[in-house]
Amino acid sequence: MRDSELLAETEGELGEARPPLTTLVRLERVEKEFPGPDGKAVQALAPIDLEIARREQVALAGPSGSGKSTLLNILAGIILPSRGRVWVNGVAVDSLSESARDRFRGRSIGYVYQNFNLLSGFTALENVLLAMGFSRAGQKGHFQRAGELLERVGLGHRLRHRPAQLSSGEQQRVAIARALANQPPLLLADEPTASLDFWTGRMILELLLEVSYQAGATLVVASHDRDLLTRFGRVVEVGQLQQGSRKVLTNSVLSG
Amino acid sequence: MSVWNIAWRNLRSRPIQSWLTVTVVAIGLALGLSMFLISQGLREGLARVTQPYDLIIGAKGSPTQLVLSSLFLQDKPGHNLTFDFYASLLGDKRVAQAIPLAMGDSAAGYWVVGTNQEYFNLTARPGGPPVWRLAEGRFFERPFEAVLGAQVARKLGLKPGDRLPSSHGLVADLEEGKNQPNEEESGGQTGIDDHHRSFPYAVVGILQPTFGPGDQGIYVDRRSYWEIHAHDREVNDLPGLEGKEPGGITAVLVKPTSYTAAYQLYQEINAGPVAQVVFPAQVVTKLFDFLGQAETLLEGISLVVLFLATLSIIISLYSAALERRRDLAVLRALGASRATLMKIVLVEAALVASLGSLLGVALAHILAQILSWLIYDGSALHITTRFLPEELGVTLGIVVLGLVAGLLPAIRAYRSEVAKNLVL
Ligand SMILES: Nc1ncnc2c1ncn2[C@@H]1O[C@H](COP(=O)(O)OP(=O)(O)OP(=O)(O)O)[C@@H](O)[C@H]1O
Ligand SMILES: [Mg+2]
Repeated sequence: MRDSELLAETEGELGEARPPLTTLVRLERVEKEFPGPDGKAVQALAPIDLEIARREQVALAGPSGSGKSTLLNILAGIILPSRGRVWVNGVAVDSLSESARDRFRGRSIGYVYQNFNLLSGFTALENVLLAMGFSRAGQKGHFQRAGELLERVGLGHRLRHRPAQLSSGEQQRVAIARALANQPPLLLADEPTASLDFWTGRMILELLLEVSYQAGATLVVASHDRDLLTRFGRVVEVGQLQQGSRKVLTNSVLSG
Repeated sequence: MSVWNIAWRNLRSRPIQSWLTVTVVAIGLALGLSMFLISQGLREGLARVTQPYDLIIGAKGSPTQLVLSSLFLQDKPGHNLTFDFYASLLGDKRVAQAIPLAMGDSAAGYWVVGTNQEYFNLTARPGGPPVWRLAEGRFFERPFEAVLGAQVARKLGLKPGDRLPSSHGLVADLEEGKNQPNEEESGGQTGIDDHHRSFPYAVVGILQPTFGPGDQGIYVDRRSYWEIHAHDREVNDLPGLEGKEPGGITAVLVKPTSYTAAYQLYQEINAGPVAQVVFPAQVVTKLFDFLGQAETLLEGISLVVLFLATLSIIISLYSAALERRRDLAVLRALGASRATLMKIVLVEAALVASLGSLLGVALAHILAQILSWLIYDGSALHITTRFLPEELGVTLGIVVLGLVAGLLPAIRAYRSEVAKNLVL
């Protein structure tokens, strides 16, 4: 339902060939440069081709500064690539206007961050409700659904707590519930365990894998935690000098 | 969650800043509005008081003093007119009615007004109902019978049949330069006041409240004055009666036969050496001018405070937008558009301004009410401070002002970049 809706929306804007429906994410020679302090362009993300299927769980690996966060932001439509094409869920994200990208993000992306990024003035429940407010879904049932989501991440008893009253692991659980608020097809996580102690981090990772699987969402996690990468069937190395051939690019590095 | 909800929560998350801003807006509005309410009420009240009186004639002196003493019972009376002059007025063809007022004595802290029964027939407009109506008892019929103004009766707890000791306000008050009758004198315990005990007033009637200064008067037959002061002359121990002509008349309320008659009297008498003629409405208009100046000053102060209020909205919301850069970025990451962030900030500004102006209107009415009580207590002039239609406009104006003040912070929020402010 959600897919066809989005497809219908983008058809008008694009009218070009779309990737098949089993593919959720498709990047074609996507690269990003930022203007440096001296005016010269600084490469933040080396050209990359990438295809991710629906319900796939993928890890993005690479050294610090290789462009993992940049890539996630491009997928979320927060920043635009300097070159290349980006499709997410049938939408050519790179050709959308800014407000259309905002709408796209509200509806199709769930995002979990290293430092949670919860709004401190709002309770756990409200943080989840907040995310629902910006999607197109009607207001009815929001309350109940937000409560259910928090229950699913194990925080059914902490609905009225503010972030400051929660442990960091609990805050990350709220963030995961919030990311799932609009049943997004794509769940992004940037170093979701880096601020947590080892065991809490493992539990959060398991939770992410589990809830995204249950929700039928595709999960893309950026991390340089080697230990974490072992839990993924597919690890994409970001930032390697890649020669454009899709074979090379989609050649997932299986670690273990 | 709606934009309103988020804006409200944002305000609540920094309560001190928010309340300070609301308070500054409220005070700015209340200062100006309360004075506006009071001066509107005063204008109405003062105009209402002078309605029954066409002309007042008194001895040469300050017209304001003449009006304030004889109509508002607020100032010490001036010198007396001669009885001959009063008689000449009665004989004048241009005078339809001439009601004498003898003033200067006080009883129990209130001015005693000596007059005749005609006084009680005064109407606010020709053919209208009488200004003075009895609540209890009857009007006076002979000397030493007193009819009490509503406030006098209420404050002293007197009713028909009670007695009221009289005393001279004039000597002590003129010497001490006081405007109000002296409370101590009314006690009349010892010394020079002793002889007043032989002339106590009998309360025969209580007037209905008129919500004007007249409610503070004690009305007696003019001849009472004559007799008291005749007695004074016998006792001959009170100095300062020179030029006061005991038993004389302090002022005359004159109803002229026509408009032209009024102007002829005005010019003739004012040109002569004996007396002055005053149009009370004119004197009150002069008071309005004075009120107007005070109003302008307070309006100015109010504008300055409102300007500060606007600044404080700008500063508080702008700094909040800076402080909450990350929160705003998070909202963007959750799918909020730039326009939504702008709306949130504008709604915050509108909420602060509306709260401030609601509080300001309430505060203004409380202030005006307190002031009007004080005025009523001091002068018996009742000032109504009802809601004026202008207030709605002012309130809306403040909300618009708030929105304008919110514009800059809103644009700041609009411009903030997600990727830069989102700590990943
Ligand atoms: N807004 C920006 N302006 C300029 N340079 C940027 C900007 N954002 C990122 N970069 C640069 O792009 C490069 C890639 O950054 P990015 O944050 O994507 O790396 P990363 O792989 O996520 O690193 P880490 O593992 O440390 O999180 C870095 O060299 C960074 O300095
Ligand atoms: Mg990163």
